[in-house]
Order: sequence, then C-alpha cells, then structure tokens
Amino acid sequence: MKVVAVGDIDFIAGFQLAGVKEVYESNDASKAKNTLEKIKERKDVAIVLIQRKFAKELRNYINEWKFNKGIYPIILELPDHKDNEEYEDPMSEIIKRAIGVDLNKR
Amino acid sequence: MADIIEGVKPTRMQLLEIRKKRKLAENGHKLLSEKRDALISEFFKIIDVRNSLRKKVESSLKEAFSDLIDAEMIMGRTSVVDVARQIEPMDEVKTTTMNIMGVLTPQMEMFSDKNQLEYGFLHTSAKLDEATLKFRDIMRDIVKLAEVEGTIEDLAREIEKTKRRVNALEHIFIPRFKATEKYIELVLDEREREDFFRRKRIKSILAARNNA
Repeated sequence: MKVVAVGDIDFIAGFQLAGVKEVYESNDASKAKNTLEKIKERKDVAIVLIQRKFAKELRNYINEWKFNKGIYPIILELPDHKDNEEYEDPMSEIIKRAIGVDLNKR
Repeated sequence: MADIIEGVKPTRMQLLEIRKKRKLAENGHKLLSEKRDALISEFFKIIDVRNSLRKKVESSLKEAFSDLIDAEMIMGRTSVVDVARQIEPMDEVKTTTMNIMGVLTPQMEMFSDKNQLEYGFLHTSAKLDEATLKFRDIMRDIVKLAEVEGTIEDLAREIEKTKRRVNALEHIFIPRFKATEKYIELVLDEREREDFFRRKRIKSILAARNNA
C-alpha cells in the first residue's frame, strides 16, 4: 500500500526526496483538510504523513477519523524544521483514556 | 443492593436459569479481566518503544529538514523542488496485520535499500545529497513508528471496550443476578415454610376430627 504526505512545499519536498511518490501540497489547514477528505475515501493508503502545524488545527477532524477508521490508514503527525515549541502529544490523550493515567507525565 | 431483574417469577426453574446465567457472567468477567490485564501489559511495553522511536524520528527529521533548507538556500527552492520531483519513488509498503490478544494490529514492511542518488551532480549541492540520504534513513523509522502508533491506537480502543465490559459485568450484571437469586430463594423458602405449616395444621385438624 501507499504512503502519502500532506504538507507545505518544504515538507513534501523532503518526503519526495525520501521516495514518497504521492505528495499533496497545501498551504493552509482548510486545503489540507480537503486533501485528507479525498485520502479518506481511498483504500490503498497505509500511512498518511501530515505536517504538525496542519494537524494541530485539524485536531478534531483527525480524531474523529481515527475513531472511525479500521486499522489502515495510520495518520502520523510529523514536525518540520520550524517546530520547536512544546506541543501537546495527541497520543498521551489516548493513553490516558485507555489506562486512566498519563504515563508521559511521570 | 442491586435491583432484581424485572418480570422474574419466583419459581425453581427461574432460579436454576439465573444461577446458570450468573455462572456464565462470572466466567466471562474472569476471562475479560484477564484479557484486560494482558492488553494493558502489552500496551505498557509498546508505549516505551513508541516514545523512544518518536524522539528519534523527530530529532532526525529536524536535522534532515534543516539540511534541506540549507540546500534550498544554496540551490534555490525551485531547483530543489524540481530535483525532488525526479526522485524515483520507493516501493510500496507491504501491509499485514498481527493479532495481539484478539486485536488486529498493523504490521508493515518496507523493502527499499536504495543508496544511489538518481539525480545529476552538476546542478545540485552536497547538502541536498545529505538531506536525501537522511530522509531515506528516516523513512524506515517512520514506517516503524506508524506501525507502533497504529498498534497503540488499536490497543487503546480495545482496552477501553474491554474495561467497559468488565465494569458492566462487575457492577451491574453480577450483582443483579445475585440479588435476583437471593430474592427467588427467599420467596421459595417462604412458600415452603407456609406449606409446611399448612400441612401440619391440616394434619392436626384431621387428627382432631378422627379422635372425635
């Protein structure tokens, strides 16, 4: 199955260099959302790489998608070179819901 | 005390049936709580893997991107983007599923060991080569990370479900069965006692009549 990347021009250039064939350039969150909407319909995508700055804005949309999807595709949020600030890990929310404690705050 | 099940007739048949149901529920509760514990221990194991992998991916990704930006500064963004478009795509990832305690989790494999750079050296900078090689290295870790995060999500969902079931059995179904069982037993005992006395009474009446 395929790997796709959604992000701005630098983000997708990086993954193109790595050999990701399907990349979708988007300059803002709403365009990224449109692209994700199209990817959601497809069955041949294994991994969706999305730039963190878009994922942050589309948090609700992505969570809903994650909740309703099967095993694939896996949505992976990745930072770009500008992401330095601390950010809230969506995974810790999932962990907290599952076992009741936040392990990352030990 | 939990409520009894509504619409139950206090008969021996019902009592046997409810006992059977309670046994089933208790068995189910035991199995499910074992499943939950096993899933959680699996979950703990994988969280540590995920955290270290995530850190590794993020830091190396940052490095790769800063190399890419350097290359863009040297060659110009448009030519970097042009080169990126020409790169031969890697093979597709092969996806299968793995079964952890009845939960299907993703497993992915990637076969591409390309160390060759397919673009010309004339118009590109060495920084771009570095960035490309770094991105290729990361790709393997990214696929692994995707696998692990997908597994965590699926496991978390299953744990939530199992927990809910365990709690429902423990706090609602089993107490309810127990209460109903007790209620029926009480009613039956009471009836038996009534019967016993009725018989005694009849016996004494009959005895009195025979004597007279």
